[in-house]
Amino acid sequence: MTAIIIIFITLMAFLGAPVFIVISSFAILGFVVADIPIAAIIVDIYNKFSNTPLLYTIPLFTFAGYILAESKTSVRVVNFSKAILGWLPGGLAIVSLAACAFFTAFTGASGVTIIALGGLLFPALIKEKYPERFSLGLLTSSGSLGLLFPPSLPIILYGVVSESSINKVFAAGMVPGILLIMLLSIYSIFTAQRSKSAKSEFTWGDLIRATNDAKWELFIPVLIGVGIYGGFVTLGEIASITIAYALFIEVVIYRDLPLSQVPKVMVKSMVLVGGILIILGSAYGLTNYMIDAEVPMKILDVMQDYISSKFVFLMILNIFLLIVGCILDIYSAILVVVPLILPISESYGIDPVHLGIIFLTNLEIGYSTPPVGMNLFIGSFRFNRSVVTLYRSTIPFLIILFIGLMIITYVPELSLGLIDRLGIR
Amino acid sequence: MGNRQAENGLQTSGQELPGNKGTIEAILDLISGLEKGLLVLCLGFMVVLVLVQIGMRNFYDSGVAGGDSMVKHMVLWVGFIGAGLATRERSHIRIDVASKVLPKEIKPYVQVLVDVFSIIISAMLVYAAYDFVAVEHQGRSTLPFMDIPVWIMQVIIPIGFVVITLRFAFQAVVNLKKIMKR
Repeated sequence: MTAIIIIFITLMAFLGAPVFIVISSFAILGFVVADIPIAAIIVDIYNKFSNTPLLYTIPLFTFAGYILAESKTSVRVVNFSKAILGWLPGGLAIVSLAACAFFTAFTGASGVTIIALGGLLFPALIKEKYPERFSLGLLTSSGSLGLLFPPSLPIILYGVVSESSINKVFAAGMVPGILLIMLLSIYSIFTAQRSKSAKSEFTWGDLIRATNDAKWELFIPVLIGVGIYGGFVTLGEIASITIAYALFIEVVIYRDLPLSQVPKVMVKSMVLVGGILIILGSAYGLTNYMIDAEVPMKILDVMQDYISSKFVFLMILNIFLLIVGCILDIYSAILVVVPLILPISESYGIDPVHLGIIFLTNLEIGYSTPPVGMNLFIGSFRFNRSVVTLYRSTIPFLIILFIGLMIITYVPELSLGLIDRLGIR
Repeated sequence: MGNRQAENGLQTSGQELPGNKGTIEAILDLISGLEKGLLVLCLGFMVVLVLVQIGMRNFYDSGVAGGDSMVKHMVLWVGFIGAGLATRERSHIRIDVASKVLPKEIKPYVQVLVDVFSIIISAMLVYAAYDFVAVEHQGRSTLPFMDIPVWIMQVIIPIGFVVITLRFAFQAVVNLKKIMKR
């Protein structure tokens, strides 16, 4: 009977039932079978919400990101990147990568990057004679680039779920994040030279003008960086300060966002947050049940019979996570899969912080992989091309990101070096 | 990863039907107005409370009594109200492979099946949440912040699930009507 119900729930999941409903139904099933009142699920949800110190940074940073997304921040950031990087071969492509990364760090790879920047950058790339397929692939796969940088939502969520030091996870993402951007930049330079794309002249006048335009927004990463590592305030406090600051500059200084629109932005951002938090709640119910039932330990026992080396384990882990990334969105994946693989990978001697970076890189790739990669559909919608065209366009980018993933996986120093060197705790 | 949130602002919020509005729809509209107002209040309160705490700590070396736990409870409110509105906009995260491969003719039927499944599960969550709050209500514990009874902060959980259930039910009815029309 239980088996039939499990199959039915799985079927519902693939037919499009909301993820929180699917997870809740598994949790309900688990508790009913174990003869525990299902109110226990709600106890788990409530305890987690009222005891997790980092959780409140999620709505706050998301709101801050949406304030920027609803203003003309994208235009100013692109202009600034163009003034500073546009003269390089492959300049505009590199500009796109940098601007997308900046934007994704603040809006959490929720598709906002492609929506906000795609329409701006795609015509510009075509105008500078970048091949269409290259431009599509670039902008689609960059929609999740930058989620390794603070204060992106997935990286905070990983800190919450794995209960590791958020400052460590933030620091760990920096070098791997830059590595991915550099790898994609190298490819962009080659493509630009092959297709004889245009590049802009560097002038101090442009740089000064663009910097002056964007200076208020460029200060935000500084604010967050100093806030996190300065030690005067907590992460949630930085988030609130960022909101106050972002509201001040967009409403008062730039006047991009009328005050009357602010409630709308609040609601819009909280609909996204609500969708994530309710999965978080239901996932706690389910993972508590699975950990009680010692599911990770049982998987580990089986695995240890077949896999003894860390090297092979990491390979299997990556293949598994790439498949997960193809099916699940990043938030559900973090919430459901991390609690299961964390104890397993720890027993293979993998640092939880390093695991986080591997995990997020995999999921970043998963955003653009067929059949259900979210970026592909948003890109298809935004650029008005068929999803199949986008599948083909993103392939070279996926290969490069995969190379980056291998480096990040097998060179843990990239993730952990900065933490040791700076003595971050 | 069939995820519809990104298209949020671009798709119309899901469920407007042509023709006159039914009673259920009018009620749901009223609720969504309330939800939006409450959401703005809760989020605004959260931001202000955190900012006030920074100020008090640095200038007076003190804090708001129970401010931390109040902020955490606000997350609960923001989360559940947001989730209710996400149901309205059909922007819950789903896997949703099927809607991309299934033939058009059977899609509405599948939709109704999924809706009914969602109604059953969320109704069970209403029951579970009610059970939970009822027990806490008897416990009579209070928050350090202004001595607010804890159950009042928790009551958003059953209310949130009730709203979600109602919305799923409404969507099921809309989808059923679509099938009947053909």
